[in-house]
Amino acid sequence: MSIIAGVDIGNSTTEVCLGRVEGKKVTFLGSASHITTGTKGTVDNVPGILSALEEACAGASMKVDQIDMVRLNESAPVIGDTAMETITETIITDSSMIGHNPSTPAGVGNAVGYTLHLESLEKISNAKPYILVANKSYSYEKIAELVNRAAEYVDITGLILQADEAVLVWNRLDKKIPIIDEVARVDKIPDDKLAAIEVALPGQVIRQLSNPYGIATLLGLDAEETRMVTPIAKSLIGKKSAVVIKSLHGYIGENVLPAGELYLKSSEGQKEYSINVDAGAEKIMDLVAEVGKIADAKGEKSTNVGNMFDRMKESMSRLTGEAVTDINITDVLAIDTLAPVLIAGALSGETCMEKAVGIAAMVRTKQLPMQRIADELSGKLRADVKVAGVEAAMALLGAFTTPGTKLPLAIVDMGGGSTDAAIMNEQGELRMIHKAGAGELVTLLIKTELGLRDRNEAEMLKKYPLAKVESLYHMRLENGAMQFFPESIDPRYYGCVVMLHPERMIRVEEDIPMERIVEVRRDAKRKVFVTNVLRALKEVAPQGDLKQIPNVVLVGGSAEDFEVPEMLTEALSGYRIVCGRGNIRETEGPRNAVATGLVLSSSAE
Amino acid sequence: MLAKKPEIILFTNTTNEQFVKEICAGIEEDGLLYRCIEVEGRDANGLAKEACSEATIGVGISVVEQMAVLTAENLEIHKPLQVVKDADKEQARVLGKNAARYIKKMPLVME
Repeated sequence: MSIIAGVDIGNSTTEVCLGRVEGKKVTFLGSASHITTGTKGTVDNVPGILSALEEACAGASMKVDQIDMVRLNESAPVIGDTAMETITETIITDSSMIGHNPSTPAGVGNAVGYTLHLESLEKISNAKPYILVANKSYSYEKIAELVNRAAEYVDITGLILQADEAVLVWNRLDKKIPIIDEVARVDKIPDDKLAAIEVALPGQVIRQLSNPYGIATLLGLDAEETRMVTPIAKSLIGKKSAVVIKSLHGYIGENVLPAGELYLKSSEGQKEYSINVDAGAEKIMDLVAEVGKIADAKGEKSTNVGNMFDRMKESMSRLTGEAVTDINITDVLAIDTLAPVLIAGALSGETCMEKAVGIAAMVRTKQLPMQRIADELSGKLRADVKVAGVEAAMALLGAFTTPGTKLPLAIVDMGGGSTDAAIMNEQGELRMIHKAGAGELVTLLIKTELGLRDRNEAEMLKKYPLAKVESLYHMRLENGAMQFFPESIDPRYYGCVVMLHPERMIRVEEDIPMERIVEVRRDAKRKVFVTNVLRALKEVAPQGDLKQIPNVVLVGGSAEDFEVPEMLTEALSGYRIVCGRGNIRETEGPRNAVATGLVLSSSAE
Repeated sequence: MLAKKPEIILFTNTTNEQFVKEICAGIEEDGLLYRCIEVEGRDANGLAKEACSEATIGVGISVVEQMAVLTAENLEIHKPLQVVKDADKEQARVLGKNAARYIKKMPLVME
């Protein structure tokens, strides 16, 4: 009889399974998981392994030195990384526009006039109409007083305020005019330039300034000038208020950024293919499919993709001690997305939705230096430490403990960096494949598309369902159901979209409608996981035919996701595949497959 | 009986008129109506609840000396929406704004 611990070091978590092995009989004693310390495959992993072992032993009421043997997985020598390449960019060459959604603008309609700051009011003449600009050092009462007095002898057509006081000023005006407020950088507005402002009707969006001919009408532009303001009109679509200032120079430009070339080398015939990243994801993926088995990929120097590839090769080289030139990128996944990018030179933080491509790639080497970890670990434990078993085989063995499975069995391991698939037939033959792109890419897509600053928030938005707090006593869940609270909740959550963490609610800081977040989140998951699982399974399936796979068990961190397994079940049901989240040892859910496999495999030795 | 307008009611017992004025400006900017009523009491939490029952719109504010309390119907007396003490102009404005935002079902502004 001996006590065996199986240890699986993953990109993000280290999992342990503890079992007692007597001949062929295996009794499971417990399991634990801990955050992987350091980069997977380095001796920095040892503290994390020790903590996980201690936790598992504590759960089984035993001591770490009772363990007779520790079995480490032969980690797949694969790391993944992601990058985002923006393809278009809008630049204001001469600050000439403001478009935003202040919560309370006032007055309705549009107005044309020459800009004038309140400080320069003495320069006013009655020869032309004016749009006055007030910074927040003026109180709403003072502004109203000055405007009312000036309006007696000159034509004041509109107002631009820095403070959030449009309604307060409007209520005190004798002659009502459109007012735009909350313009942060009023100091950047030049004096004495022809400008047009527009405030939309309640519940509507602006109509004149989001139309090139509307701008032409208001500012008296010729055909050439109208062509030049088209990007302004485009970036003002959907706004509740806007200002466009006529300037002598070019207005705004839409640049197409050189996104760089992507070079793919086929492993058959060493043929090299290339494609520009701005061709878009669909074209890139068509090429990836055409190339077949990729021997290596390169990106153009000093583009985001080029830098990402270099970064990945370098970190893998540091890890294994192999030369950078010996490390190859073996898969690429590209996905189209839109990113709200801050317009360079804008006056109140305006953004424009720009085209972007999210790219995940994967590098592979011959072997990770697992033996070094084993040596380090055996110095700290009484037990024998052994590197045992190929990861995919161990995962299959573990996944096979899920009730309702039979051979041939396929597993899909959805981790952070890569999506791996393996299949074992009745003869015990194993085929496996690693594909670039998994949970990390989903997080990146969510972060980019929603314009979040914090990666951590994107990670949480990926993991937790949402609800909108409608009163202090109830919220509406994203599926439409209502949930009531017995006590009134903290007013900080009132009216907010919240994430439903199992223990508490987390406020979504950005002002984005719940429906939009749900749409982006589901779309990102579908684009990455459904695409990748189909790609991976097709490669391991007998004769490349998905219908030859009777069942697929989903394992790994992303299999715990609250909606990804269902998406895959749906997508694969068309191929008559039984697909679902694994339930390792009938208790562990999709986690712990490899660690369990490691314990099971020791009984065979 | 006269129909009551949908107003936010302020019960005030303070010499700090500027404070009350800023709260009112906050309400006005967000497009709601309000009415100030001078009262005698000193219990800010209690007065806020009373202001709330006076208002038909479900939100009440009390200002007692340098302290303002914002509350809503259904809320317990000791769990108001927001309390500010010795507030500067901006905090007072925000309290008024929040009264209006609560009615509009928008997230409250909190530091």
